[in-house]
Amino acid sequence: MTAGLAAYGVPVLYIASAVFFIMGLKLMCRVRSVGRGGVLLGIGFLLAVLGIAIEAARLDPKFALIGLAGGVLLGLSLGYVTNIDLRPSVGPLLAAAGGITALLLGIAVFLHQESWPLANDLALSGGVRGAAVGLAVVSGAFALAFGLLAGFGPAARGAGRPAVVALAASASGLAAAMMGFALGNPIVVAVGGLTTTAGLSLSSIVANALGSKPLDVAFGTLGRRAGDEYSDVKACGPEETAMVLESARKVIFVPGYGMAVAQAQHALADLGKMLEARGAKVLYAIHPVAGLIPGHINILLDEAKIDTAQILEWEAANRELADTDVALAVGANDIVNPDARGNSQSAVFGMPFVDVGRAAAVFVLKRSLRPGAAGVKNPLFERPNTNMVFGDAKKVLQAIGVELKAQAPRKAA
Amino acid sequence: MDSGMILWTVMMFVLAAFVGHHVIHGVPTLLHTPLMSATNAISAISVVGAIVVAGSEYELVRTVLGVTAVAAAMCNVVGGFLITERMLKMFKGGDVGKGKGHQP
Repeated sequence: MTAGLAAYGVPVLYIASAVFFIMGLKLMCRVRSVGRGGVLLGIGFLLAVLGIAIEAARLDPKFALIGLAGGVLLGLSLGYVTNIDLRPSVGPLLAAAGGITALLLGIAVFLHQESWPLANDLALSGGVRGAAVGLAVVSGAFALAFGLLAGFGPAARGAGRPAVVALAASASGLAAAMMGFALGNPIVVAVGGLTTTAGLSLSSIVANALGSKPLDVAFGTLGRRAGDEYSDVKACGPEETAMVLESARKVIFVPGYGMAVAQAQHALADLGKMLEARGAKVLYAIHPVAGLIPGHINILLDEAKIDTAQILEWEAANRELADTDVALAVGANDIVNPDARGNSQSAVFGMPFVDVGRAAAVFVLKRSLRPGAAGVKNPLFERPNTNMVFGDAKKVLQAIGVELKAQAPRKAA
Repeated sequence: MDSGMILWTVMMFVLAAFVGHHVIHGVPTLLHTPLMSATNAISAISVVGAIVVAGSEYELVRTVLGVTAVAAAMCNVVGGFLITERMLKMFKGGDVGKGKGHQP
Protein backbone atom coordinates (compact mmCIF):
# COMPACT_ATOMS: atom_id res chain seq x y z
CA MET A 1 0.00 0.00 0.00
CA THR A 2 2.62 2.49 1.13
CA ALA A 3 4.98 1.26 -1.56
CA GLY A 4 2.29 1.73 -4.22
CA LEU A 5 1.57 5.23 -2.98
CA ALA A 6 5.23 6.18 -3.12
CA ALA A 7 5.69 4.68 -6.58
CA TYR A 8 2.63 6.14 -8.31
CA GLY A 9 0.94 8.60 -5.96
CA VAL A 10 4.01 10.75 -5.42
CA PRO A 11 4.82 11.35 -9.11
CA VAL A 12 1.16 12.22 -9.73
CA LEU A 13 1.26 14.70 -6.84
CA TYR A 14 4.45 16.23 -8.19
CA ILE A 15 3.07 16.59 -11.72
CA ALA A 16 -0.13 18.18 -10.40
CA SER A 17 1.97 20.47 -8.20
CA ALA A 18 4.06 21.64 -11.19
CA VAL A 19 0.88 22.38 -13.19
CA PHE A 20 -0.54 24.42 -10.29
CA PHE A 21 2.71 26.39 -10.02
CA ILE A 22 2.79 27.23 -13.73
CA MET A 23 -0.89 28.19 -13.95
CA GLY A 24 -0.62 30.16 -10.70
CA LEU A 25 2.26 32.27 -12.01
CA LYS A 26 0.45 32.83 -15.30
CA LEU A 27 -2.75 34.02 -13.60
CA MET A 28 -0.80 36.28 -11.24
CA CYS A 29 0.39 38.35 -14.22
CA ARG A 30 -3.13 39.75 -14.83
CA VAL A 31 -5.08 42.10 -12.59
CA ARG A 32 -8.32 40.21 -13.25
CA SER A 33 -6.98 36.84 -12.10
CA VAL A 34 -4.22 37.67 -9.62
CA GLY A 35 -6.17 36.40 -6.59
CA ARG A 36 -6.89 33.02 -8.17
CA GLY A 37 -3.20 32.77 -9.17
CA GLY A 38 -2.11 33.15 -5.56
CA VAL A 39 -4.48 30.37 -4.48
CA LEU A 40 -3.15 28.01 -7.18
CA LEU A 41 0.45 28.66 -6.10
CA GLY A 42 -0.50 27.82 -2.51
CA ILE A 43 -2.14 24.54 -3.61
CA GLY A 44 0.94 23.67 -5.70
CA PHE A 45 3.11 24.19 -2.69
CA LEU A 46 0.94 22.01 -0.43
CA LEU A 47 0.92 19.19 -3.01
CA ALA A 48 4.73 19.26 -3.19
CA VAL A 49 5.04 19.09 0.60
CA LEU A 50 2.46 16.28 0.72
CA GLY A 51 4.51 14.39 -1.87
CA ILE A 52 7.72 14.58 0.14
CA ALA A 53 5.82 13.68 3.32
CA ILE A 54 4.71 10.41 1.68
CA GLU A 55 8.13 9.81 0.17
CA ALA A 56 9.90 10.37 3.49
CA ALA A 57 7.30 8.57 5.60
CA ARG A 58 9.83 6.15 7.06
CA LEU A 59 12.02 8.99 8.35
CA ASP A 60 11.69 10.38 11.86
CA PRO A 61 9.31 13.35 11.47
CA LYS A 62 10.10 14.84 14.89
CA PHE A 63 12.76 17.35 13.90
CA ALA A 64 11.18 18.24 10.57
CA LEU A 65 7.96 19.05 12.42
CA ILE A 66 9.80 21.25 14.91
CA GLY A 67 11.30 23.18 12.00
CA LEU A 68 7.96 23.36 10.19
CA ALA A 69 6.14 24.64 13.26
CA GLY A 70 8.83 27.20 14.05
CA GLY A 71 8.92 28.46 10.47
CA VAL A 72 5.12 28.67 10.17
CA LEU A 73 4.89 30.64 13.44
CA LEU A 74 7.65 33.00 12.38
CA GLY A 75 6.04 33.41 8.95
CA LEU A 76 2.61 34.06 10.48
CA SER A 77 3.99 36.70 12.80
CA LEU A 78 5.87 38.38 9.96
CA GLY A 79 2.88 38.19 7.64
CA TYR A 80 0.06 39.07 10.04
CA VAL A 81 1.49 41.05 12.90
CA THR A 82 3.74 43.25 10.80
CA ASN A 83 2.28 46.69 10.28
CA ILE A 84 1.51 47.02 6.59
CA ASP A 85 3.65 50.17 6.51
CA LEU A 86 6.68 48.07 7.42
CA ARG A 87 5.93 45.71 4.54
CA PRO A 88 8.71 47.03 2.29
CA SER A 89 11.32 45.78 4.73
CA VAL A 90 9.74 42.31 5.06
CA GLY A 91 10.13 41.36 1.37
CA PRO A 92 13.94 41.60 1.41
CA LEU A 93 14.01 39.81 4.77
CA LEU A 94 12.09 36.89 3.25
CA ALA A 95 14.35 36.92 0.19
CA ALA A 96 17.33 36.68 2.52
CA ALA A 97 15.62 33.75 4.29
CA GLY A 98 15.46 31.99 0.90
CA GLY A 99 19.21 32.43 0.53
CA ILE A 100 19.85 31.14 4.06
CA THR A 101 17.78 28.01 3.35
CA ALA A 102 19.87 27.17 0.31
CA LEU A 103 23.14 27.85 2.12
CA LEU A 104 22.30 25.65 5.13
CA LEU A 105 20.97 22.85 2.95
CA GLY A 106 24.06 22.98 0.78
CA ILE A 107 26.33 22.66 3.81
CA ALA A 108 24.23 19.83 5.29
CA VAL A 109 24.27 17.81 2.07
CA PHE A 110 27.97 18.53 1.56
CA LEU A 111 28.83 17.25 5.06
CA HIS A 112 26.84 14.03 4.60
CA GLN A 113 27.25 13.09 0.99
CA GLU A 114 27.72 9.39 1.72
CA SER A 115 24.68 8.86 3.95
CA TRP A 116 21.79 10.27 1.94
CA PRO A 117 18.60 8.71 3.35
CA LEU A 118 16.39 8.73 0.25
CA ALA A 119 19.01 7.50 -2.21
CA ASN A 120 16.93 6.72 -5.29
CA ASP A 121 18.01 6.35 -8.85
CA LEU A 122 17.58 10.07 -9.57
CA ALA A 123 20.03 11.19 -6.90
CA LEU A 124 23.40 12.30 -8.17
CA SER A 125 26.57 10.80 -6.83
CA GLY A 126 30.24 11.70 -6.53
CA GLY A 127 31.62 14.66 -8.43
CA VAL A 128 28.38 15.63 -10.14
CA ARG A 129 26.61 15.90 -6.78
CA GLY A 130 29.53 17.94 -5.39
CA ALA A 131 29.22 20.35 -8.33
CA ALA A 132 25.44 20.69 -7.90
CA VAL A 133 25.80 21.31 -4.17
CA GLY A 134 28.57 23.85 -4.80
CA LEU A 135 26.36 25.71 -7.28
CA ALA A 136 23.49 25.62 -4.80
CA VAL A 137 25.67 27.20 -2.12
CA VAL A 138 26.95 29.89 -4.49
CA SER A 139 23.42 30.75 -5.71
CA GLY A 140 22.21 30.73 -2.12
CA ALA A 141 24.90 33.26 -1.25
CA PHE A 142 23.79 35.40 -4.22
CA ALA A 143 20.18 35.21 -3.05
CA LEU A 144 21.22 36.32 0.42
CA ALA A 145 23.30 39.17 -1.03
CA PHE A 146 20.46 40.40 -3.26
CA GLY A 147 18.04 40.13 -0.36
CA LEU A 148 20.27 42.33 1.78
CA LEU A 149 20.84 44.70 -1.15
CA ALA A 150 17.06 45.03 -1.57
CA GLY A 151 16.72 45.85 2.11
CA PHE A 152 19.61 48.21 2.55
CA GLY A 153 20.94 49.02 -0.93
CA PRO A 154 20.28 52.03 -3.17
CA ALA A 155 16.96 50.59 -4.41
CA ALA A 156 15.64 49.94 -0.87
CA ARG A 157 13.23 52.87 -0.83
CA GLY A 158 12.36 53.14 -4.51
CA ALA A 159 10.05 51.61 -7.10
CA GLY A 160 13.03 49.46 -8.15
CA ARG A 161 13.01 47.31 -5.03
CA PRO A 162 10.84 44.54 -6.55
CA ALA A 163 13.48 44.17 -9.29
CA VAL A 164 16.14 43.38 -6.69
CA VAL A 165 13.94 41.04 -4.61
CA ALA A 166 13.01 39.22 -7.84
CA LEU A 167 16.74 38.74 -8.54
CA ALA A 168 17.11 37.26 -5.05
CA ALA A 169 14.14 34.95 -5.70
CA SER A 170 15.72 33.90 -8.99
CA ALA A 171 19.04 33.03 -7.32
CA SER A 172 17.23 31.18 -4.58
CA GLY A 173 15.22 29.25 -7.21
CA LEU A 174 18.47 28.26 -8.94
CA ALA A 175 19.85 27.12 -5.59
CA ALA A 176 16.70 25.05 -5.02
CA ALA A 177 17.00 23.45 -8.48
CA MET A 178 20.63 22.51 -7.81
CA MET A 179 19.61 20.98 -4.46
CA GLY A 180 16.89 19.12 -6.36
CA PHE A 181 19.61 17.63 -8.62
CA ALA A 182 21.70 16.59 -5.63
CA LEU A 183 18.74 15.09 -3.76
CA GLY A 184 17.13 13.52 -6.80
CA ASN A 185 13.80 15.27 -6.25
CA PRO A 186 12.07 16.18 -9.54
CA ILE A 187 9.58 18.74 -8.16
CA VAL A 188 12.39 20.76 -6.60
CA VAL A 189 14.27 20.75 -9.92
CA ALA A 190 11.14 21.77 -11.86
CA VAL A 191 9.90 24.51 -9.54
CA GLY A 192 13.45 25.72 -8.92
CA GLY A 193 14.01 26.05 -12.68
CA LEU A 194 10.64 27.78 -13.09
CA THR A 195 11.45 30.29 -10.34
CA THR A 196 14.94 30.96 -11.70
CA THR A 197 13.70 32.39 -14.98
CA ALA A 198 10.39 33.74 -13.64
CA GLY A 199 12.40 35.87 -11.19
CA LEU A 200 14.78 37.01 -13.93
CA SER A 201 11.91 37.95 -16.25
CA LEU A 202 10.06 39.80 -13.51
CA SER A 203 13.21 41.63 -12.51
CA SER A 204 13.83 42.78 -16.05
CA ILE A 205 10.16 43.80 -16.47
CA VAL A 206 10.31 45.93 -13.30
CA ALA A 207 13.64 47.47 -14.30
CA ASN A 208 12.36 48.08 -17.83
CA ALA A 209 9.37 49.96 -16.40
CA LEU A 210 11.91 52.32 -14.87
CA GLY A 211 13.85 52.56 -18.14
CA SER A 212 16.76 50.62 -16.66
CA LYS A 213 18.31 47.16 -16.20
CA PRO A 214 18.08 44.86 -13.13
CA LEU A 215 21.72 45.19 -12.07
CA ASP A 216 21.69 48.97 -12.60
CA VAL A 217 18.71 49.12 -10.24
CA ALA A 218 20.38 46.82 -7.69
CA PHE A 219 23.62 48.79 -7.57
CA GLY A 220 22.05 52.22 -7.87
CA THR A 221 23.35 53.24 -11.27
CA LEU A 222 19.73 53.99 -12.27
CA GLY A 223 19.15 57.15 -14.24
CA ARG A 224 22.78 58.16 -14.56
CA ARG A 225 22.68 57.80 -18.32
CA ALA A 226 19.72 60.18 -18.49
CA GLY A 227 21.65 63.34 -17.66
CA ASP A 228 19.08 65.07 -15.51
CA GLU A 229 17.74 62.91 -12.68
CA TYR A 230 14.06 62.19 -12.35
CA SER A 231 12.89 61.72 -8.80
CA ASP A 232 9.20 60.91 -8.81
CA VAL A 233 8.12 59.14 -11.97
CA LYS A 234 5.11 56.82 -12.15
CA ALA A 235 5.26 54.03 -14.69
CA CYS A 236 2.50 51.69 -15.77
CA GLY A 237 1.85 49.03 -18.37
CA PRO A 238 -0.52 48.58 -21.32
CA GLU A 239 -3.18 46.91 -19.15
CA GLU A 240 -3.60 49.90 -16.83
CA THR A 241 -3.49 52.29 -19.79
CA ALA A 242 -6.30 50.32 -21.42
CA MET A 243 -8.32 50.43 -18.18
CA VAL A 244 -8.22 54.23 -18.15
CA LEU A 245 -8.82 54.53 -21.93
CA GLU A 246 -11.82 52.24 -21.58
CA SER A 247 -13.87 54.87 -19.78
CA ALA A 248 -12.51 57.91 -21.65
CA ARG A 249 -14.96 60.04 -23.70
CA LYS A 250 -12.35 62.22 -25.33
CA VAL A 251 -8.81 61.17 -26.21
CA ILE A 252 -6.02 63.20 -27.84
CA PHE A 253 -2.96 61.54 -29.31
CA VAL A 254 0.28 63.52 -29.60
CA PRO A 255 2.60 61.66 -31.99
CA GLY A 256 6.30 62.59 -31.89
CA TYR A 257 9.68 61.53 -33.22
CA GLY A 258 9.45 58.18 -31.41
CA MET A 259 6.27 57.24 -33.29
CA ALA A 260 8.01 57.95 -36.60
CA VAL A 261 11.07 55.89 -35.63
CA ALA A 262 8.95 52.95 -34.47
CA GLN A 263 6.72 53.26 -37.61
CA ALA A 264 3.79 53.07 -35.21
CA GLN A 265 1.29 55.12 -37.27
CA HIS A 266 -0.84 52.11 -38.26
CA ALA A 267 -0.92 50.79 -34.68
CA LEU A 268 -1.91 54.30 -33.56
CA ALA A 269 -4.69 54.54 -36.15
CA ASP A 270 -5.97 51.07 -35.16
CA LEU A 271 -6.14 52.07 -31.50
CA GLY A 272 -7.88 55.34 -32.45
CA LYS A 273 -10.52 53.46 -34.47
CA MET A 274 -11.04 51.01 -31.62
CA LEU A 275 -11.68 53.89 -29.20
CA GLU A 276 -14.07 55.56 -31.67
CA ALA A 277 -15.96 52.29 -31.99
CA ARG A 278 -16.41 52.43 -28.21
CA GLY A 279 -17.93 55.90 -28.55
CA ALA A 280 -14.95 58.11 -27.68
CA LYS A 281 -13.98 61.28 -29.54
CA VAL A 282 -10.43 60.84 -30.86
CA LEU A 283 -8.16 63.69 -32.01
CA TYR A 284 -4.53 63.91 -33.15
CA ALA A 285 -2.36 66.89 -32.19
CA ILE A 286 0.51 67.85 -34.47
CA HIS A 287 3.38 69.98 -33.29
CA PRO A 288 5.13 72.03 -36.00
CA VAL A 289 8.52 70.37 -35.50
CA ALA A 290 7.43 66.86 -34.51
CA GLY A 291 9.17 64.05 -36.39
CA LEU A 292 12.36 64.18 -38.44
CA ILE A 293 11.31 67.18 -40.55
CA PRO A 294 8.28 69.49 -40.31
CA GLY A 295 5.26 67.81 -41.89
CA HIS A 296 6.71 64.33 -41.31
CA ILE A 297 3.96 63.30 -38.88
CA ASN A 298 1.23 64.60 -41.24
CA ILE A 299 2.56 62.30 -43.97
CA LEU A 300 2.62 59.31 -41.63
CA LEU A 301 -0.92 59.94 -40.30
CA ASP A 302 -2.12 60.34 -43.90
CA GLU A 303 -0.45 57.04 -44.78
CA ALA A 304 -2.40 55.41 -41.91
CA LYS A 305 -5.62 56.89 -43.44
CA ILE A 306 -6.49 59.05 -40.46
CA ASP A 307 -9.26 61.55 -41.26
CA THR A 308 -7.77 65.06 -41.61
CA ALA A 309 -10.78 66.44 -39.68
CA GLN A 310 -9.35 64.71 -36.60
CA ILE A 311 -5.90 66.32 -36.98
CA LEU A 312 -5.29 69.55 -35.07
CA GLU A 313 -2.47 72.11 -35.00
CA TRP A 314 -0.86 72.57 -31.58
CA GLU A 315 -2.79 75.72 -30.58
CA ALA A 316 -6.18 74.23 -31.45
CA ALA A 317 -5.14 71.05 -29.64
CA ASN A 318 -4.29 73.01 -26.48
CA ARG A 319 -7.84 74.44 -26.44
CA GLU A 320 -9.33 70.96 -26.86
CA LEU A 321 -7.08 69.48 -24.15
CA ALA A 322 -8.86 71.39 -21.36
CA ASP A 323 -11.84 68.96 -21.40
CA THR A 324 -9.94 65.87 -22.56
CA ASP A 325 -10.00 62.70 -20.46
CA VAL A 326 -6.81 61.12 -21.71
CA ALA A 327 -3.83 62.61 -23.57
CA LEU A 328 -1.45 60.02 -25.01
CA ALA A 329 2.02 61.29 -26.05
CA VAL A 330 3.49 58.69 -28.41
CA GLY A 331 7.28 58.92 -28.57
CA ALA A 332 7.13 62.64 -27.81
CA ASN A 333 9.36 64.51 -25.37
CA ASP A 334 10.48 68.09 -26.15
CA ILE A 335 7.20 68.94 -27.92
CA VAL A 336 5.22 68.24 -24.73
CA ASN A 337 7.68 69.92 -22.32
CA PRO A 338 5.78 72.39 -20.09
CA ASP A 339 9.04 74.27 -19.44
CA ALA A 340 8.39 75.84 -22.87
CA ARG A 341 6.00 78.12 -21.06
CA GLY A 342 6.85 77.77 -17.38
CA ASN A 343 10.64 77.93 -17.08
CA SER A 344 12.55 80.84 -18.61
CA GLN A 345 15.86 79.11 -17.79
CA SER A 346 15.03 76.10 -19.98
CA ALA A 347 16.47 75.59 -23.47
CA VAL A 348 12.95 74.95 -24.76
CA PHE A 349 11.47 78.16 -23.28
CA GLY A 350 9.27 80.04 -25.74
CA MET A 351 8.93 77.14 -28.16
CA PRO A 352 5.49 75.93 -29.22
CA PHE A 353 4.36 72.97 -27.15
CA VAL A 354 1.36 70.72 -26.74
CA ASP A 355 0.07 71.22 -23.20
CA VAL A 356 -0.94 67.61 -22.52
CA GLY A 357 -0.90 68.26 -18.77
CA ARG A 358 -4.31 69.93 -19.13
CA ALA A 359 -5.94 66.55 -19.77
CA ALA A 360 -7.33 64.61 -16.81
CA ALA A 361 -4.85 61.78 -17.33
CA VAL A 362 -1.63 61.77 -19.35
CA PHE A 363 0.19 58.72 -20.67
CA VAL A 364 3.66 59.12 -22.17
CA LEU A 365 4.77 56.21 -24.37
CA LYS A 366 8.53 56.33 -24.48
CA ARG A 367 11.51 53.96 -24.61
CA SER A 368 13.24 55.40 -21.53
CA LEU A 369 13.69 58.63 -19.57
CA ARG A 370 16.49 59.75 -21.87
CA PRO A 371 16.24 63.40 -22.96
CA GLY A 372 15.06 64.36 -26.46
CA ALA A 373 16.86 66.42 -29.11
CA ALA A 374 16.87 69.53 -26.87
CA GLY A 375 18.77 67.56 -24.21
CA VAL A 376 16.69 68.83 -21.29
CA LYS A 377 14.69 67.26 -18.50
CA ASN A 378 10.91 67.17 -18.94
CA PRO A 379 9.01 68.04 -15.73
CA LEU A 380 5.81 66.65 -17.31
CA PHE A 381 7.07 63.15 -16.48
CA GLU A 382 7.04 63.94 -12.76
CA ARG A 383 3.53 65.36 -12.63
CA PRO A 384 0.98 63.45 -10.53
CA ASN A 385 -1.43 62.88 -13.44
CA THR A 386 1.32 61.60 -15.78
CA ASN A 387 2.02 57.90 -16.26
CA MET A 388 5.04 56.68 -18.20
CA VAL A 389 4.53 53.59 -20.38
CA PHE A 390 8.01 52.42 -21.30
CA GLY A 391 8.71 50.44 -24.45
CA ASP A 392 8.67 50.51 -28.24
CA ALA A 393 5.75 52.74 -29.36
CA LYS A 394 4.37 50.25 -31.87
CA LYS A 395 4.49 47.26 -29.49
CA VAL A 396 2.98 49.24 -26.62
CA LEU A 397 0.12 50.59 -28.79
CA GLN A 398 -0.64 47.08 -30.04
CA ALA A 399 -0.55 45.74 -26.47
CA ILE A 400 -2.99 48.45 -25.34
CA GLY A 401 -5.28 47.43 -28.21
CA VAL A 402 -5.16 43.78 -27.13
CA GLU A 403 -5.97 44.69 -23.53
CA LEU A 404 -8.80 46.97 -24.64
CA LYS A 405 -10.34 44.14 -26.67
CA ALA A 406 -10.03 41.82 -23.67
CA GLN A 407 -12.13 44.17 -21.55
CA ALA A 408 -15.88 43.92 -21.60
CA PRO A 409 -17.57 46.14 -24.23
CA ARG A 410 -19.03 49.34 -22.84
CA LYS A 411 -22.75 49.26 -22.15
CA ALA A 412 -24.88 51.79 -23.98
CA ALA A 413 -25.36 54.85 -21.75
CA MET B 1 22.49 7.30 -11.08
CA ASP B 2 23.35 6.70 -14.69
CA SER B 3 24.09 9.44 -17.15
CA GLY B 4 20.73 8.90 -18.87
CA MET B 5 18.85 9.90 -15.72
CA ILE B 6 21.08 12.94 -15.28
CA LEU B 7 20.12 14.04 -18.78
CA TRP B 8 16.40 13.58 -18.06
CA THR B 9 16.71 15.76 -14.99
CA VAL B 10 18.71 18.39 -16.86
CA MET B 11 16.07 18.37 -19.58
CA MET B 12 13.35 18.94 -16.99
CA PHE B 13 15.30 21.89 -15.60
CA VAL B 14 15.75 23.42 -19.06
CA LEU B 15 12.06 23.03 -19.95
CA ALA B 16 10.96 24.45 -16.60
CA ALA B 17 13.31 27.41 -17.12
CA PHE B 18 11.75 28.12 -20.53
CA VAL B 19 8.25 27.95 -19.05
CA GLY B 20 9.27 30.33 -16.26
CA HIS B 21 10.60 32.83 -18.77
CA HIS B 22 7.52 32.76 -21.00
CA VAL B 23 4.85 32.63 -18.33
CA ILE B 24 5.92 35.98 -16.86
CA HIS B 25 5.07 38.60 -19.42
CA GLY B 26 3.21 41.87 -19.78
CA VAL B 27 2.97 42.31 -16.00
CA PRO B 28 1.24 45.62 -15.12
CA THR B 29 3.11 47.83 -12.63
CA LEU B 30 0.34 47.31 -10.12
CA LEU B 31 1.27 43.63 -9.87
CA HIS B 32 5.07 44.00 -9.68
CA THR B 33 5.18 43.84 -5.88
CA PRO B 34 2.63 41.01 -5.37
CA LEU B 35 4.30 38.91 -8.07
CA MET B 36 7.73 39.60 -6.57
CA SER B 37 6.42 38.43 -3.23
CA ALA B 38 4.87 35.28 -4.72
CA THR B 39 7.98 34.39 -6.78
CA ASN B 40 10.06 34.70 -3.65
CA ALA B 41 7.64 32.54 -1.69
CA ILE B 42 7.74 29.66 -4.19
CA SER B 43 11.53 29.75 -4.32
CA ALA B 44 11.20 28.21 -0.85
CA ILE B 45 10.37 24.91 -2.62
CA SER B 46 13.75 23.75 -1.30
CA VAL B 47 11.81 23.12 1.93
CA VAL B 48 11.08 19.73 0.34
CA GLY B 49 14.80 18.90 0.53
CA ALA B 50 15.15 20.49 3.93
CA ILE B 51 12.43 18.22 5.37
CA VAL B 52 14.44 15.17 4.30
CA VAL B 53 17.65 16.55 5.81
CA ALA B 54 15.92 17.39 9.08
CA GLY B 55 14.26 13.98 9.24
CA SER B 56 17.43 11.99 8.59
CA GLU B 57 19.05 9.93 11.30
CA TYR B 58 19.99 12.24 14.16
CA GLU B 59 23.40 13.86 13.91
CA LEU B 60 23.81 17.17 15.73
CA VAL B 61 25.22 19.39 12.96
CA ARG B 62 23.05 17.97 10.20
CA THR B 63 19.86 18.06 12.27
CA VAL B 64 20.43 21.63 13.41
CA LEU B 65 21.16 22.72 9.82
CA GLY B 66 18.12 20.83 8.52
CA VAL B 67 15.72 22.16 11.16
CA THR B 68 16.93 25.74 10.64
CA ALA B 69 16.60 25.33 6.87
CA VAL B 70 13.02 24.02 7.21
CA ALA B 71 12.17 26.91 9.53
CA ALA B 72 13.72 29.55 7.21
CA ALA B 73 11.95 28.10 4.16
CA MET B 74 8.55 27.84 5.87
CA CYS B 75 8.90 31.36 7.24
CA ASN B 76 9.64 32.49 3.68
CA VAL B 77 6.66 30.72 2.14
CA VAL B 78 4.07 31.45 4.86
CA GLY B 79 5.16 35.06 5.33
CA GLY B 80 5.40 35.55 1.55
CA PHE B 81 1.91 34.21 0.81
CA LEU B 82 0.34 36.17 3.67
CA ILE B 83 1.91 39.42 2.57
CA THR B 84 0.92 38.81 -1.04
CA GLU B 85 -2.64 38.20 0.13
CA ARG B 86 -2.70 41.40 2.19
CA MET B 87 -1.36 43.44 -0.73
CA LEU B 88 -4.07 42.08 -3.01
CA LYS B 89 -6.74 42.93 -0.43
CA MET B 90 -5.43 46.50 -0.35
CA PHE B 91 -5.91 46.68 -4.13
CA LYS B 92 -9.47 45.45 -3.88
CA GLY B 93 -10.20 48.23 -1.39
CA GLY B 94 -8.66 50.80 -3.74
CA ASP B 95 -9.90 52.27 -6.99
CA VAL B 96 -8.27 49.82 -9.37
CA GLY B 97 -10.13 49.38 -12.62
CA LYS B 98 -12.47 52.30 -12.18
CA GLY B 99 -10.57 54.55 -14.58
CA LYS B 100 -10.53 58.31 -14.49
CA GLY B 101 -13.05 59.28 -17.15
CA HIS B 102 -16.21 61.35 -16.77
CA GLN B 103 -19.00 59.70 -14.87
CA PRO B 104 -22.25 59.66 -16.84
